[in-house]
Amino acid sequence: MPDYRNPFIVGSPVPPELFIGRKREVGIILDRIANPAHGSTAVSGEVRIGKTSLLHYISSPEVAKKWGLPPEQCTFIFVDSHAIVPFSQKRFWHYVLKSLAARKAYEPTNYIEDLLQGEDIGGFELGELFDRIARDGKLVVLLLDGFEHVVEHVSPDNPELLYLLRGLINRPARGLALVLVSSKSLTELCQNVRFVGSPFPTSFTSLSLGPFSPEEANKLIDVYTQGTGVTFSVRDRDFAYYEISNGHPYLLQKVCFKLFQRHVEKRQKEGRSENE
Amino acid sequence: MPDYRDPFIVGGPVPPKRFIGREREVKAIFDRLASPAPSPAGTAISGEARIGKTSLLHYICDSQVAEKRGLPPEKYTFVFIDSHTIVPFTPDSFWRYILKSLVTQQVYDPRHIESLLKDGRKKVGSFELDTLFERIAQEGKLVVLLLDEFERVVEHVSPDNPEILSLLQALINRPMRGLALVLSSREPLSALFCDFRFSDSPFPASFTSLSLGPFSRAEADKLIETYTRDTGIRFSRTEKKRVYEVSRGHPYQLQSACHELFEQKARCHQF
Repeated sequence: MPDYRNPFIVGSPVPPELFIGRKREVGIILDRIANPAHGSTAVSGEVRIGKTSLLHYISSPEVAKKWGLPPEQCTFIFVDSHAIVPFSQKRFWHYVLKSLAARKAYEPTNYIEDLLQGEDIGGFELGELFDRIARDGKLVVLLLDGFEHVVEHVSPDNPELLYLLRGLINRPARGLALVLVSSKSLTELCQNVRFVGSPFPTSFTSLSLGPFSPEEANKLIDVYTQGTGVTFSVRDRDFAYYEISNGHPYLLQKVCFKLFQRHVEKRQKEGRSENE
Repeated sequence: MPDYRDPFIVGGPVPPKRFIGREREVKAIFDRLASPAPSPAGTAISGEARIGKTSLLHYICDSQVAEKRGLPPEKYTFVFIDSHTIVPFTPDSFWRYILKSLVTQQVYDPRHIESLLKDGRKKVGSFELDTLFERIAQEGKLVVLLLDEFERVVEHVSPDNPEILSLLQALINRPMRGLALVLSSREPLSALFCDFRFSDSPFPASFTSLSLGPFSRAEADKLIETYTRDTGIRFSRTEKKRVYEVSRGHPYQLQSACHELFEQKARCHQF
């Protein structure tokens, strides 16, 4: 009996095993991290374009391993900046350090716990921690989703947190890489911030996420409908891509969800008529 | 199967193993560090954004590089500090950061330095710093402090009473040399300090200025050759010429243009 459960995902990030496309973007981000420079990237794109899904995908162990970034050497820490409430620089670092301790990114973990007990976590202590991680042949990749929330809370005349983040990824021993995600580009986000010395955005490779290509959209439909007993016609696909979504992942999933539902209802109706 | 992973580095500093060119600047810096009494005592590097200042500092402070240039690690300790990581910036937090780095690098008896750091309420005094670097010098050692983003330090100094600068200047000009400075900023020191009032010897006078410019064509070609080696992708003579022209030899623009071209070529190869 065919499985009529709707496979399309509307509204939330897709799990790595159902992630489709974005080959170029995934390659650029992971090439940068795997490179001896352990480079950092800033991803931007409109709401629901798939930024969070991309972060989840690149940090999945199976994918990272293909770039020579196995979990024993490379710890990906996903932080949704909105989860740090109320936001402060101190809370930000506490959140990051607690995540590092929980993931055992550096052992002995009591080193991080001691830092958390201390009054203030300063640039020296953080620099030393990431240097130690690098000396152990390891790397931490901090995936910061909703980065506009961070920028919103820095002083435009003294953006200490941004200075510190930039300083930490540019240390001679490279123990930290960043992947930042925001709706606006980093340059746009930081346009009112006054940087003394090197501007924050210049340390990042910028990537803009656009809509899916028709090939990517077709692949998504094929993969998602596989084994469901429902097939989308060329007309369905054209309607979903060209008339409704223009390749926007969220709209595409939404219209496909509805089309799938309609197919199922039609079949159920046909089934009932046959029984009668 | 060839590895089509992009080897170019766009955005951040390049690691010492990927550092190319700048032979004149590297030699000038190491020569001054090796000299028993260079005059002026310090070096100040300037250059526009992404020209490669931080990469140069990282290269200089790599222990293997320094040793090859005749500066053995048992005598020379390199301390790299991005001034932006000193938060919040105050003269005291600046010195504390340096002292903590010296403890980590075991330059001198850590108990002595820790005793200076012990009382968080008491400021680290100039006498104590002076004595510390003299003792380091007496042991035949030299601490090379590489201060990146030096503008950040200048921003926090009063133009009428630049105490932190006076102290840095005094420390590098001691008869027994325990501290050497290599500073890096976008603008040259003379421009950074145009509004400052120095009582006698101006701070910039204690530094030799090195201005970083674009790569020469030979440096750019060497970078491309080195980076693409073992990737399975080669750039033709015309392509090398083209990326040099497009980037005008600016290291970041060059890496960026090479990255674009590499991506294009990798796609064609895969196809």
